[in-house]
Amino acid sequence: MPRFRTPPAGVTAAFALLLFPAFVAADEPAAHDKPAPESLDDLLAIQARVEAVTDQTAAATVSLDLGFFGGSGSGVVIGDEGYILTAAHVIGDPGNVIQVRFPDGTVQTAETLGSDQTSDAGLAKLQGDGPWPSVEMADPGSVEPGDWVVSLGHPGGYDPDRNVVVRLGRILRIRQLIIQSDCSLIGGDSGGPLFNLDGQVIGIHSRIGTSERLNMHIPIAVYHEVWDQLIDSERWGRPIESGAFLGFYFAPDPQGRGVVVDRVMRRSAAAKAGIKRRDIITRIADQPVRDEDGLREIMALEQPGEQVTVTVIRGGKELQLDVTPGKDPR
Amino acid sequence: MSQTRPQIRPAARVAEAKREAGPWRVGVLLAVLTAVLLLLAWAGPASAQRYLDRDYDTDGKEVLKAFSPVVAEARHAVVQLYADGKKSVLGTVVSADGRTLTKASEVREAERLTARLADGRRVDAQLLAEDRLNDLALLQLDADGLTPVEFAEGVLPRLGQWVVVPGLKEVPEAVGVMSAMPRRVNGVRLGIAMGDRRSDGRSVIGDVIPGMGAEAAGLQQGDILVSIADHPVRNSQDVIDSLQDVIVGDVIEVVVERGGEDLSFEVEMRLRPLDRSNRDDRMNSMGNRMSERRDGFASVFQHDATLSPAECGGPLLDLQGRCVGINIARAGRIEAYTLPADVVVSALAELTGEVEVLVNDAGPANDPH
Repeated sequence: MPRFRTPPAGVTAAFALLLFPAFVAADEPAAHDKPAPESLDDLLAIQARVEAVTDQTAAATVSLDLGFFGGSGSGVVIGDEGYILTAAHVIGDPGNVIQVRFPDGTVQTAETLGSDQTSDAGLAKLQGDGPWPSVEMADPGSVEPGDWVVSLGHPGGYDPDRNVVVRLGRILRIRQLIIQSDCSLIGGDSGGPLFNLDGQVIGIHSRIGTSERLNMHIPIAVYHEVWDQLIDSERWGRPIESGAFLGFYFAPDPQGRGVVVDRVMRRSAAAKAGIKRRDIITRIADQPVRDEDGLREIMALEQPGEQVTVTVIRGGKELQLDVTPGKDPR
Repeated sequence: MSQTRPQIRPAARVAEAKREAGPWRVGVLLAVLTAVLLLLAWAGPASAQRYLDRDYDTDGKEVLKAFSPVVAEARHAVVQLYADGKKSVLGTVVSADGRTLTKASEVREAERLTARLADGRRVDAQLLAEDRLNDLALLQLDADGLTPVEFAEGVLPRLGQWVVVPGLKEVPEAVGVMSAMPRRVNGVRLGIAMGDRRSDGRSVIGDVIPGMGAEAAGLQQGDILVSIADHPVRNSQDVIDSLQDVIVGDVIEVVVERGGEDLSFEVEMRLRPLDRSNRDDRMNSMGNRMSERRDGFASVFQHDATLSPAECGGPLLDLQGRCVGINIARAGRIEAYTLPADVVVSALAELTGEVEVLVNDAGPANDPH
């Protein structure tokens, strides 16, 4: 069961009592709330929701043309006033007029408003009077790992022969400024919306990493929090450095406990913290290191300069080492 | 931000409680507090630190299990092909007597083809005919009594519907959803990098890509685009629009302004080469090789199953287990292209027709008149 943690044995009794009435009252969970679909019926139920979300939301998923050398990105129209959620790195400065292409080919203009370089949240507003096709923002804090999500966008720019591109995924991990999903994005997806199975926006596509599991979205909670500054066309913050670097080469552990350190780079963060050749890295920042990809995925969300605890097995003993990772020199 | 996702730190709260209460109450308080805190944790927000186990990913082991009934029958219509002994792509069995379709460009060069069937048999295969546009090859397997796929003729998956990539095993190789309805994918390029000039917005050639038609025709950096295939060009969007109807091999007229003079060039449209030093290609292929032939199809639909290039040539199923098409290319980080069932069925009819003609021409069965 990946969805719930098991409470420690000591409190299980009290806990069970507290929850007992709820358990009795609860029906079988909906297919999309199960840790994994269990039957063809579950798959059909999820499929019906994904199709419905696609139908509801595609018309509001727009392509943004920045003109000049600005390139293009995606965005999504929310509410009745013509606000477009997108990524800060797509829209750039406030006060620019950009072209908005709706999936039916209609072209309208919008003005860029505020952007938060740190979280990558950006906002624009359609000019003129609506109504426009639109969707709703989800409440902050309504997202959990394991949730099924639908990603829409115009990757690579608007293509009149292609509909809004639909992809399905699950939420893998949630951080304050990042939602990570396995809903694979490509360059050019930036600014596009991520929906829950109720068709509400829960995130905006921001960037990708080297693994197919590293798809980063700006949490909708960020937009809720900085909404007033975005509307006021403020531009603030500095892009967060993603990808912290420890400084060692590694190989899989034949016994599957984690990864084995092959060589520690001189003067690296790992060397300073005392990580040695043949150490078996089992945990980083409180997360188990499953294999090589697992280690890369963990480090992709850590930040240079912020200390993490690394658990290693050395000579049969478990050690905890504090490491302050550096920047990726590549 | 912290308000939207409260971080609960049981240790700190319990320490506070200790200061306020006498030692005899600590046990009770601790139990109650822990229960309440765990309840909050259970309810969601504190799951911020949790990382979904890979087995529960969209195509993780636990999720794939649910798809077993979908592939139960169809996997017997899938074969693993070997080109000169090396594992190659998959094939789709289309007749009980061993006719099989696959991705032509992956098997064309092979001197010897063999196939492994879902029941474990290893048989020889022979290439009978090829459809270059769709990149399909018709093979004859040295086997009988096979289970062909059931083509879902006249049916296309709707956007967001599950699609399933069966292999020879009891669980599928990959699953995903329908991402984009059939369209022509036309990776043909002039072979220029361009930008809009700031002063007047006109499109200027910034770079000429080696090995492409523009270079061969003599276009140069700094040329200002005037028209392409008779479409006037005012900005870079016009360039894209003017190339909508062009297919690979077409030769089109490009007029540029160079040194105040209009010059005309005949440019052959070629498929964009895969370029490891190109950022988009690198980002799109990241960790996965793309199919060599992944472009220039008359009609393909797109899905998001993580199809490896080696899984092309096999069928794609809907939840009913019907074959909605044949996977023909891994085109990007998430883009898998599938020839729709209708396209496959008509291509198969043509390929079969060609084979019959060949057999009749070659064989002694033609009675002299």
